Amino acid sequence: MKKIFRLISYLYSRITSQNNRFNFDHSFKTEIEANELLSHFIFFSSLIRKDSDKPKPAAFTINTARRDMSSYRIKELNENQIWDIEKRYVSINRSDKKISKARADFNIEIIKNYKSLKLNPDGNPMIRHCNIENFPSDKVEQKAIQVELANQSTLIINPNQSPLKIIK
Amino acid sequence: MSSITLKSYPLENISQNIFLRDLFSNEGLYINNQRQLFKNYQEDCITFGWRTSLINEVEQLFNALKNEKTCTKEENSLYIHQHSRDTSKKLIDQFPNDIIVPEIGADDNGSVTFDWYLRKNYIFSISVNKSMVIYAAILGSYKPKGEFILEENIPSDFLSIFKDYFSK
Repeated sequence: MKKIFRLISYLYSRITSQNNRFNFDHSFKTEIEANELLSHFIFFSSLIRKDSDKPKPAAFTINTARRDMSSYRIKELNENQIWDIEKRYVSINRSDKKISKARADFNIEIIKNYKSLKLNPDGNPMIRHCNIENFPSDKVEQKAIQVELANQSTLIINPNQSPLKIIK
Repeated sequence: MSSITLKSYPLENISQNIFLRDLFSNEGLYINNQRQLFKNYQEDCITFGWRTSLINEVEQLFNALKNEKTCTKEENSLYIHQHSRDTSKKLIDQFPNDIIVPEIGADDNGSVTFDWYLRKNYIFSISVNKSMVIYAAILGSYKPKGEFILEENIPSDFLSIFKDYFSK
C-alpha cells in the first residue's frame, strides 16, 4: 500500500514538474522586450548581505577572460519554474555541483543604460539564457556596473537551500 | 601644584582658540584639554575593537576560502589572494575612526571586498585586489568611482565618502 502511494505521489510530482518545465517554452519569444526581468544566480552566501535582503556587488560575477555575465530571462515564469531552470541548467553544469544560494532579479533596462554592454539571448544551455557581453576591461567601470546592479536588484533566496546553510 | 603642572605645559597647546583663552583660566583650559585627550583615547579604544574584529574576519574568510573546492576557470569560485589579504589589513588601519563598520567578502578575482549599504541609492563598495584599491559608490545622484595604490596617497575623494555618508 505504501509503495503504491509512493508511486502515485512520485508520478504526480513528475507530471507537475513537467508542466512547470515545458509549458512556458513553446510560446517563448526570443526577441528581448522592454522592462524584462533577468535573473543572475548566486552560489556563495558571502555574496549576500547579512543585514539586508540585497546581493553584494561582487555577486554579479563577470567572467574575466570573456568579459561577460550569465543571466536568465524570467518573464512569465512562476517561482517553481525559475528554480527549475537553476536545478536543470545551472547548478548541474558546475563541476562542484553547488546549488545556488539565491538569485538576483533585475530589470533589463539597467543593462541597456550602459551603451557598451550587449545582450545576447544565445539560448545556450536553454532558450531563456541571456549572456550579457562586452563588459569594459577597466576594473573601475566593472565595479561601477556591479554596484548599480546590486543597488537595483531584488534578492530571492533559493527555497531548496537549507536556511542554516544560507546563514552560514 | 596646578601652577607647576601648567608651567611645564605650553599655553599654545592648551587651546588655539582666542575666545576660550579669554573666557577661562589656564587651569580651566588645562582641565578641558586633558578631558578632550581622554575622550579621544576612549574613542581610540572603541575603534581598535572594530578594526581588530574586521582584520580577524578577513583572516577567517581567507582561511575558509582556502579550503573550498576550487572550480574550473569557467565557473566563479571565491578566493582571496594573499597579497589582497595583507593590503586589506593595511586599508582597515587607514579607515577613519568613526566609520560605519562594513561587511567583508571576497570575489572571484581574489579580492577582499568591503560593502556598505545604507538604503537604496546609498551604497559603497571597495575591492582590494593585491595592492590596488578599487571603489565605486552610489550616493543619490553622485556616483564616485576610482582606484589607487594603497602605498601611495589615499585620494581625498575616497576619504570624503566616509566623512560625508558612512560615518557614525
